[in-house]
Amino acid sequence: MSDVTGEVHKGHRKVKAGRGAKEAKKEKKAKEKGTQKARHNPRAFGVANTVRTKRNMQRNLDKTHQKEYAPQTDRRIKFPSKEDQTFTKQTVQLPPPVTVAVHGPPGCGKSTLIRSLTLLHSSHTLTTPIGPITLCTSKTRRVTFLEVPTTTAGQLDCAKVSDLNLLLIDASYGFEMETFEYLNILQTHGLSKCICVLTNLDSLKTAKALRNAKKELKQRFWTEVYQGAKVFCMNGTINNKYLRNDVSSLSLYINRSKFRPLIWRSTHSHIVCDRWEDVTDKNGDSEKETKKIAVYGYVRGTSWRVKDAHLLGVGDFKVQSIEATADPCPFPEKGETIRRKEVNVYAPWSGVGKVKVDRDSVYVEVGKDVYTSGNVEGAGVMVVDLQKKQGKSEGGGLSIFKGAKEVEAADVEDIDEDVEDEDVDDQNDYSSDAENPENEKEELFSEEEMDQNSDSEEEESDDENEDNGNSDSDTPQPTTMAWKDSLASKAASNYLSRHESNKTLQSLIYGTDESSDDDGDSGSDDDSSDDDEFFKIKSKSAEPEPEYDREHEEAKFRNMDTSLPERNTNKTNKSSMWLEEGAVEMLRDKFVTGNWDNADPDKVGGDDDDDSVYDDFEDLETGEKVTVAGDGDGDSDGEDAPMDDEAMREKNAKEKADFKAGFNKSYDDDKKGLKDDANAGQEEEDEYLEAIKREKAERELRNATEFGAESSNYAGYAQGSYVKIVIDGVNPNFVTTFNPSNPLILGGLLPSETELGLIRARVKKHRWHNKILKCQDPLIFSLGWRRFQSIPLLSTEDQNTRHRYLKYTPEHMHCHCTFYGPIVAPNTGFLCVKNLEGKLKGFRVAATGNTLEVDQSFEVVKKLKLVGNAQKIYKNTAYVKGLFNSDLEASKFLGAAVKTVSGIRGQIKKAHEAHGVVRCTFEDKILLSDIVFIRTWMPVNVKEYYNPVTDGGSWQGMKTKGQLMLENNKPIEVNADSIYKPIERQARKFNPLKISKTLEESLPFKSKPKNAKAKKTKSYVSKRAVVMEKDEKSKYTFLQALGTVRNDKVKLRREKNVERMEKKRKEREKDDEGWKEKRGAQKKQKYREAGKALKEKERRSNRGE
Amino acid sequence: MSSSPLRFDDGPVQFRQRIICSILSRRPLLVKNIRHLDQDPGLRDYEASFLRLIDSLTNGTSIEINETGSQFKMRPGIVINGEVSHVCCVSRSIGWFLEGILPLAAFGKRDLKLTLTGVTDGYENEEVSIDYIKASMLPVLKEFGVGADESEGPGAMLRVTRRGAAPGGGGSVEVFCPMVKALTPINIVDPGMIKKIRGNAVSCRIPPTSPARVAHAAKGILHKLIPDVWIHTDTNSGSKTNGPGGCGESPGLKCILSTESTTGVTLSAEVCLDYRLERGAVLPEDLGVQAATLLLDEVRKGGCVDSACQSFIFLLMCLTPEDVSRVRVGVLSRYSVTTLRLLKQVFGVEMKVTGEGNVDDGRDDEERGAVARSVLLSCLGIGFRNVSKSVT
Repeated sequence: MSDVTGEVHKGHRKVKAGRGAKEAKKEKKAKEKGTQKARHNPRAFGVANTVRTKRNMQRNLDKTHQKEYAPQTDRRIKFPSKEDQTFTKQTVQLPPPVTVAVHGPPGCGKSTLIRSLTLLHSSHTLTTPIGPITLCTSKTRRVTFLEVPTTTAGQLDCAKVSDLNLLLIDASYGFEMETFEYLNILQTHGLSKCICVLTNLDSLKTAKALRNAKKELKQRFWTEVYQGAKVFCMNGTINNKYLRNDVSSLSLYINRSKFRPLIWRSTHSHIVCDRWEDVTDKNGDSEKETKKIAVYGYVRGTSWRVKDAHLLGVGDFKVQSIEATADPCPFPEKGETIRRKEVNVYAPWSGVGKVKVDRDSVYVEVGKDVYTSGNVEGAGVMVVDLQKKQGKSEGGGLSIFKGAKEVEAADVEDIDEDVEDEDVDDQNDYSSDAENPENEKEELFSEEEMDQNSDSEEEESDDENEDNGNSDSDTPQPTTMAWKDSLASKAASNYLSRHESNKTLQSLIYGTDESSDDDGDSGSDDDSSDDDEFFKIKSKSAEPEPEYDREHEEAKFRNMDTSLPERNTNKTNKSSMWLEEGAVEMLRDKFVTGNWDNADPDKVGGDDDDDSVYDDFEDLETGEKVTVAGDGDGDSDGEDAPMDDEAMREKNAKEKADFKAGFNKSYDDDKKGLKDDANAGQEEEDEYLEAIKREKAERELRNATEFGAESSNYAGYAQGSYVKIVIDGVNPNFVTTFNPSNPLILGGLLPSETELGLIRARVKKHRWHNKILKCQDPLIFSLGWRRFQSIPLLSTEDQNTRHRYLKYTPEHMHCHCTFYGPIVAPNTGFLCVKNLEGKLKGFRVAATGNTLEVDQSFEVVKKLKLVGNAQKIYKNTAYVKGLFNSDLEASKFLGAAVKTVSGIRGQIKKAHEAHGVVRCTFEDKILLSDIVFIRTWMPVNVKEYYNPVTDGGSWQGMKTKGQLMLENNKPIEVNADSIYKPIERQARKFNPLKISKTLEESLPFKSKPKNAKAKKTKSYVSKRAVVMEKDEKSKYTFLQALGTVRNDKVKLRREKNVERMEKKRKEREKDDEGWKEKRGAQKKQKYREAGKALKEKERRSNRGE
Repeated sequence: MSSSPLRFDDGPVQFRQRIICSILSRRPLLVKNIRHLDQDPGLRDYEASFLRLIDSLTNGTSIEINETGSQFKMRPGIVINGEVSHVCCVSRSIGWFLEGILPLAAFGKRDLKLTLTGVTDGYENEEVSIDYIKASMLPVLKEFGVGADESEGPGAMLRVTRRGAAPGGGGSVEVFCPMVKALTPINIVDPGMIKKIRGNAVSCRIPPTSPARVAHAAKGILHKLIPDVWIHTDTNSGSKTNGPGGCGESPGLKCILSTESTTGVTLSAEVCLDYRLERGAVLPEDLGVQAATLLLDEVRKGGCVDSACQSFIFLLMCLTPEDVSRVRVGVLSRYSVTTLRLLKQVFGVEMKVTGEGNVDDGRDDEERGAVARSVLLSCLGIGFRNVSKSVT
């Protein structure tokens, strides 16, 4: 036995006696002889140690269980993998750029980092990176860099959209409050990924200081985020850029990192606006109060389907129009790797950009150079001049000569091929918007027209139908199989006519696209069309009705509101076709008793032996026998497309192959299943997870494939598509005060989120905020996309679910908070700040929380004690005044419980007279001096105040009274009632207790008052003389004598004691005198030595030893 | 800062669905010209009763009806549900009310425990009955994940505590529906093959032989196709007017049949005795045969949902998370088409309609021919979440 130091320890001793020794001996012998028996049945010893095996199994199960996770629904588009054969960049929707927010306190090197990262990937050197900067960083990833402004509003906005946050920290200074605030903001709005980047490391001179700083900052960051969070170091700068190696390692990480889906973002589409245009119609009123702007950007989060949007820091708007435009920063097409020269950078505010000619504006191509208005030459100058003159706000196109007709951008240069040629008027290009009442109406018009058309083409109109039905019922059909006779021809004609009319069911229901487009022009003429008849387009009601048939109308409306199909109620069963002989056989294959091969959902109706007509029909459908003219359109789905023999054969072969593969797989699986029968329990668990995963995969596949190319009709504008969204009604202040260094974000709003309501939330004052928050003081909330000021009502939930009003937030606890604001789904995080502008000391985030509930009314109650005095007292009844002001008020409180301060309980019986006097009964007689009170709960109303915060400096929020007093230099108002005064209490005088004689007599002795006075005269016993007998006297004398003897003894003993103690004391004193000198000498010696040592020490320290 | 209102000026068309859509989308509703040409203009008693029911299920709903009743405005509130009891107007059956509010049932703040009293049987020609809702719509709710997880509690339930035929009413129904956070998308495309048929013949204040005759006649037809047919008979006598198992004042007879397929798809059809007919005009046998033929009609139409359930399923498909839901229906009914249009108007959801289907235009089956082609409808849900549900 030896350990690492080589020291030899004593080992275990070998067993030398007993059974173990015998066994060992035997074994040794057998080994030597070679007759040792091997274990013949290794399987029998599979579980040699049951406890250990059990623990092992448990451990393994635990470990596997830890790895399991509930599959999250991730609706983000992923970059298609290389294996995906169908992938071509034209057909597949590619993901939007990753939003990387670069955050840090002022002067820590944010711009430098963005500049360095941009230069690393492209050949652009940005002088001042402003606004979003989009570029390709690899073949599979695009990145948008956002520099987070240092204002609270800017931090809030960026935190809501960023996928990845680079938190820059000046290592020479350490963490600043902004970083902590930003981390807190991130936490409440869904914690996106954070990376710490340490800058200004070159200012630390010694290697030790550098090491310490790195270690300290890293540890602090880890406690804030999580242990092991990524930290990068930027070791110095060259040419105002970080070192290439540092930047490239950071860039590698940015390129490879994956992001968790965040709930808010996966349910809300949004756009980080790359740029915006003022597209207000200048031909109209030039002094228009509101502006119309178009914003451009990638759709992020989820596909854009919503009609309402919130421009952060500006307000809520209806989406006027949305259209896909060309991607300004596409992925490079060729090559395995991405070359630096080829990388596009799209940064319109930073003066770099792929130049675009658009309907609204002209951008000039100046090669790869940086574009500034100064260095443009040649043709560019003219365009730039024009641009300056026209301004960006020109509506449709570009008029080259003064007063000339505007030239369409698309006419000049056909760069935007993807953009459809549309009308100049923005009002009209609103084809995708179903909400537009005008368009909607027109669509319906058209579709109704079509309805009529198709009806007339196919058969009779509705009215006639009804008549027909009635006549049918009146005269039962004589022939039995008459309906069958012309079935085939009818079906054929039906089918053909449907194809001729060239209308699919889709267009029958929703109207066709062409018609709605055409109607766009005419529909925009009057606004009052909103109120126009909506369903009146029905041919019946559109026509002026000659007479009003009440019965008919009533029945019509009754039937209009039922989901039942129109059924001919008068029809007796005799006319039903199912009663015919053999008619039910048609449906035979729909039952398990039929032919299972025909159980194809689309093959409805049997193709039975005798029904050759249906065979024909099937053929018709597949287009084999009857060729249909103009058939190729309409059906996007392959299901119904006609097939020729070849295709049919191929299809059959494929089906067969699939079937075989399926069989093989299931066979294999079955075999496998037999093998691992032992792990049945484990498998069951796996199966459950597998089932969830499979279901998820199926769902995702369905989502991806269902709509195909025409996805935008049904699923909106997909993530990653570059869109232009026009919104109207923007405050002109926005246009004038817009600052491109603040990010502009357009967030989509779900239908319910445009409404205001009451929200109850759980909230906690942030522990770093230095003050507790006062109830009903206005606060600025950041909830969902919005920032708004509202008045919170604080409360806490008592055990009986009563919400009790609170004056202040608890110091270290959660409380409830009810406020008026835009409705959001429960469990959405939010935070409160007191003020967005102005310099505030300390930590600015005042409180954080998440929403619990939404409702139109919430009850928060405040305790209210009504106080009264007894007016008149009869036994247990008393008339109490002062509780109420009127008998009406009092009558509302009949039966309420009252109480006196001394604890006598009672009840209100009746309102006595006017002025609110009530008759109460108590469990005991109360005193006139008793105070009677009722404990009630007063509901406190939430103040319905909602003030969205806008940027640009013009916003005015509500102020607290204290703030106003301070601003106007007025003293704080003091309520005289609120001042605490010393309580003066008079000592109470109680009347003597009187107990009636009869009662006193009947009381037991214990309870009787014992108030007999001491006697002044001597009693008889003490006064009388006692004369003893002779015998008695002798005994008495004897006892007295004994007592005298004892007393004498005691006295002697006491004297002796005193004497002895005196002697002892003297002896001790004598002794002490002898010792005194000796002790004094000892003490002196000791102190001397101590003094010497001290001196010596001082001397040494002075010498510096 | 408020969503654009929904405006309609064609009277009480799709009355219930418009209200429901308004509540779900939280958009105010304005309906004009409600029977404005009538001598007795305005909302009918059953419509007013429906509005009262909506009011008791929600909090903060403000309903404004003008003097004549020909116009009403509604600003929707929050759906609360919970324990609610409502006396339904007897001019329409409970089914009409229940069908109307069923889309709201799962989106309340609390589970819905609703007691409705009124007519349980008797207007089946005009609206679906509670038996139909139980047979056809509650399974649909389960498909959408309402009460699908049995470990979390019971699913949607409907119990008829007392029968009451038209026109007297006096029946009572208890409905339970658990709330959900969000629906789950559906993919019901395979109708499968019908494996069994179940039914119920219900009578009120009519001799017990009558429902038996109804069942016998229906089986006479259905047995030709499948042997597994079972029709219960449910007799409610007037003697126990106030006790359990009793029924309302009026006599009534009805029959509901539903199929179940190998893939779990159910199709239902029902028929009832018209209380306006004189005695003996319709024999119980006629009723049975009529029920069977209606069921066969539903089977012929194909699809995975029956025609009266279509609009309900379309609405719920719109309200799923942002995933694709698919359903195969037979013949699109007119009501369904108007529903599809309404859904596009309110939620902006357009369904993809695939297939050469028919729209039910009221023509007789004989004319259209026996073949019905099914239609596949698919849509992407709007990502609706139950906002009123609270977090604990």
